[in-house]
Amino acid sequence: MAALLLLLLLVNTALAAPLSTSPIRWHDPDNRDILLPAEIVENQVWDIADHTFFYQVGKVLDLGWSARRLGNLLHLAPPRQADNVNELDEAVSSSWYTNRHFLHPMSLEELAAGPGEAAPDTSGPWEIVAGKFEGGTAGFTVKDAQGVRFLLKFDSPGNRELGSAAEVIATKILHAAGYNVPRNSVVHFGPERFRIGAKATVPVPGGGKRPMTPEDLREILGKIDPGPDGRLRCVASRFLEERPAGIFDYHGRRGDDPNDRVDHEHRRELRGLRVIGSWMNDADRRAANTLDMYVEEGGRHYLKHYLIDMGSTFGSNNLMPHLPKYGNEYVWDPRSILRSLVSLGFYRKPWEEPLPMPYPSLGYFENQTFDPGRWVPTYPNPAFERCTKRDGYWGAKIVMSFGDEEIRAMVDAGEYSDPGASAELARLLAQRRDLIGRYWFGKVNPLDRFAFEDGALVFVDLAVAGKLEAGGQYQCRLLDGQGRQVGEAQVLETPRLPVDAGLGPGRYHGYELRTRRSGKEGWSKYTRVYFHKGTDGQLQLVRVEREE
Amino acid sequence: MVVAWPRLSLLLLLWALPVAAQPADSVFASPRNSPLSWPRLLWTGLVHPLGMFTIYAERTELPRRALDWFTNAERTFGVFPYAQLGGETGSGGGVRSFHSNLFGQGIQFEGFYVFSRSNRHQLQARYRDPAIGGGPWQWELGGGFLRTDSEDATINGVAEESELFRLRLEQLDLRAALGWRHNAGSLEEYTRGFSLEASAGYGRRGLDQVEGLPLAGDAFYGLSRTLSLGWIGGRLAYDSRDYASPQTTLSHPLNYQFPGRILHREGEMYHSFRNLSYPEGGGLLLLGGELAWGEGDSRFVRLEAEAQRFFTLFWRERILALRARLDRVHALGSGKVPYADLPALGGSQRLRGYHRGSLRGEGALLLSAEYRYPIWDTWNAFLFWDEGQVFAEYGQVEPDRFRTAYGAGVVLRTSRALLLSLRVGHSAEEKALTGFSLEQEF
Repeated sequence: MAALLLLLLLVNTALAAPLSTSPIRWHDPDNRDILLPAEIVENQVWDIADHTFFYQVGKVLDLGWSARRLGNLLHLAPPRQADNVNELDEAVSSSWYTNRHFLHPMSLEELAAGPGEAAPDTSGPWEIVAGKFEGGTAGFTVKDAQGVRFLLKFDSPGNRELGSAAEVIATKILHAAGYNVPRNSVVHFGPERFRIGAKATVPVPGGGKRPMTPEDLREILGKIDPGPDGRLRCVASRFLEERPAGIFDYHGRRGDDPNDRVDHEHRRELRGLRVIGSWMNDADRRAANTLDMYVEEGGRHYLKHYLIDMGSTFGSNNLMPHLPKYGNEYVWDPRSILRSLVSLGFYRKPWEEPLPMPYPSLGYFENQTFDPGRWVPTYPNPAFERCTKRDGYWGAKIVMSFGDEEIRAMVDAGEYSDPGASAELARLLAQRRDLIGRYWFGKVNPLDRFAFEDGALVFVDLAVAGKLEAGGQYQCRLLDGQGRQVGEAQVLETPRLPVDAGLGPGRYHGYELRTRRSGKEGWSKYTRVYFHKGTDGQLQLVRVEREE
Repeated sequence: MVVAWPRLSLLLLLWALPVAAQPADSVFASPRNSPLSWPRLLWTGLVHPLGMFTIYAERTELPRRALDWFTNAERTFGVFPYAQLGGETGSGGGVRSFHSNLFGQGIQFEGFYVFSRSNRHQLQARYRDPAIGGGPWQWELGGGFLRTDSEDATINGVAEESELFRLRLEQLDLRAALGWRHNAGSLEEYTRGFSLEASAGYGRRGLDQVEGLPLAGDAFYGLSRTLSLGWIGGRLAYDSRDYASPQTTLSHPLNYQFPGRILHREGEMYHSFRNLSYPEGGGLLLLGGELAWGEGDSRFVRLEAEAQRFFTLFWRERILALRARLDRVHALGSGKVPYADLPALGGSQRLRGYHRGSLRGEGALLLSAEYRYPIWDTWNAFLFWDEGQVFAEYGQVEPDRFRTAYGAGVVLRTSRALLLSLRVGHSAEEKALTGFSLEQEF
């Protein structure tokens, strides 16, 4: 039995690859030419039912997962780390993700522009091609004078600006974070702009459709709250021009895409999205809100993976404010139900009493009950469930890379009519950003951006850079290429470590760094930085390891 | 043969180790599935058809189309198959029908028929005009037919304890009622206030013994014969369960939009309610009486009185619910009360922890206390304590004669309707009596 347990614990334990002077990998070539895959149908009910019930059962039946989970609990096995991180523990650019703001800071203009504007051409009428009637509010697919198609989504009655602003701001943030997102913009226009197209229809009771009439259009528009100037406001989403291939799931791989070699639940950018999602309270981040596009680039056709439908973010649940529980527990959460059941009602959830909503256009968005480590979307997301501390740290440093002014630039894209609402959302995001930084930077030693300058190893203490900590001391130990300590520990007051000139050339060396904060006892977990000293004395960074 | 564990472990390890499917150019890739994941893959394969069907159903709007098979386009009329688990006739199947807008006048009809066995059927129907001419008056016609010899039927509840006999009941009831409500209109569903009802009816009861030693006719009036009787009666009720005064503005919309809470806007006012089967305050008072007479010596008065009160305890939705109910039949002069018309206790609503109809007498007194607390959006759990006794005369009612039952359960509901109540109760007769209910009196 013991041998079997040992076997189970050993299985799936990654064997560290040997150090190498090969260039650091920053790109995953998953854009090779492939045949058009079959479209994976979007579904809502199964997406929720599967991830809430069936996937959870299947997870336990994966004996490797169960053994590792047991090993995690007994501190006998490390968590399974992401499969697509490079030697510096970074997510690499791919058809899923592009390293943007954290590694390559964007200007305020670039942040505000996001993936680009999505304003339909106003030199002519907008032809309604199709209607969107499901849900609580209306929307249209329109074709502008240039023949470009847009999806127009209106705010629900009584919730003006709520969903449209959230969708646009979240789009900017996710783009800057590195994800593929459609172009979304807030647009204002007069109702006379519409022209009913020949193929536009409306549903009829009992099923079926009939051609849309001007009366239908008047009735639909009558349910939309106009602005003080009588104009309508909506979010315009420019249709992606390539060919859609359906949704992607947050676990497994597409069998018909040879480029899809990394299990989605083990992709760093999807695991770390949990932290970025927690920042935005992106409660509806699930498979139904994703889209694979069959794109063409340089003669090659491949799948590019998008996140879509960002209207359920911040305080918006698209059609209404978020419920206070969103972000705090799943919509149907067996653990929460069990806890409530056995506590006989004496357990009072912090979010049971709603907090004030000073700005209706912001919906329900607050930080008082926000716990970065416990944040969950409305339904289980397999990649989020696999988020380790290293993944969380990766997400947190992206979140922390946005300064206050940069946040304001992206929030302004939501075009709130009340400047107070805009300022309040920016304030809440900045505060939430810091809560996230404090949490995750407390889990993993937040030393980053390692480089060699003038014979010294320099790095950035992200907690200090993010103004979460006033400063710190850094304990350094010299390691050999096998990770064995070969020197006495020394303590630095600044993030700059002169490399011992006596280190042997043509060999690998490393430093183990720990941090101690001002006024606090004890050293943090380690960050190990390995490098190669060439025969010419050149220092080359080869690996970063983080203890969690 | 002795197998060396370390060697076997090593072989298993090599076999089970995930092997990275690394292409030659060293791109990123996850290891292929190891045999340890095969149980998961098998499970995924088993669930796959269900997933495909669910997706198909969603894409093709199967639920809507299924509704189309059984209801009209406006969803005001429907006929659909019906299955029953347990109950007066035992498990069976049948058909249920409803119409919520007969003649376009808002007149309602509902009914069902259940067949369990050749001797076990049940039919019920009700035709109701909830607002005559749009006003506060309402009238209805209703009827029911029950034929059962099930050991689980209320009529056999007393027998179930002793297992001495089994009865067969054939019962017909027809009823007409005229009612008036103070709060007629669109808000009536949530705030009922005062209501009055006058009713008249006709019934037949046929009672036979199908098993056991012959029973004494005095204690089982109506046995081995069919009695017809008519009755007139009335009922007065005051219902203030969970009604909050309307407001012109909302202090916080989310206080009114929690799952399970209903926000209704009418006449420039906001009306906020909790689902009536989970009230957080208010109460219900009900008084009723009927005079019945018929064939043979059947002459009696039937009285009912009920009080319910609800208190929010230390925090929202933690509710103390109290109930007292008295049912009493008085024989008039030399008249008698048919055995089938005697009040009974036991079952899912009255004295839980005892089987349905376990206690039967000319009077039945029930006291209940229940602590309810939420476990999910619209679900709650409860702890209950029931005390009940049956009696022949009021003077027999004594604290020592109460039968005690206590237990716990969970209630699954939507914001507007009860789905299912599951409970387990303990009593002197039953160590752990489990049961479920699709209805809720209290």
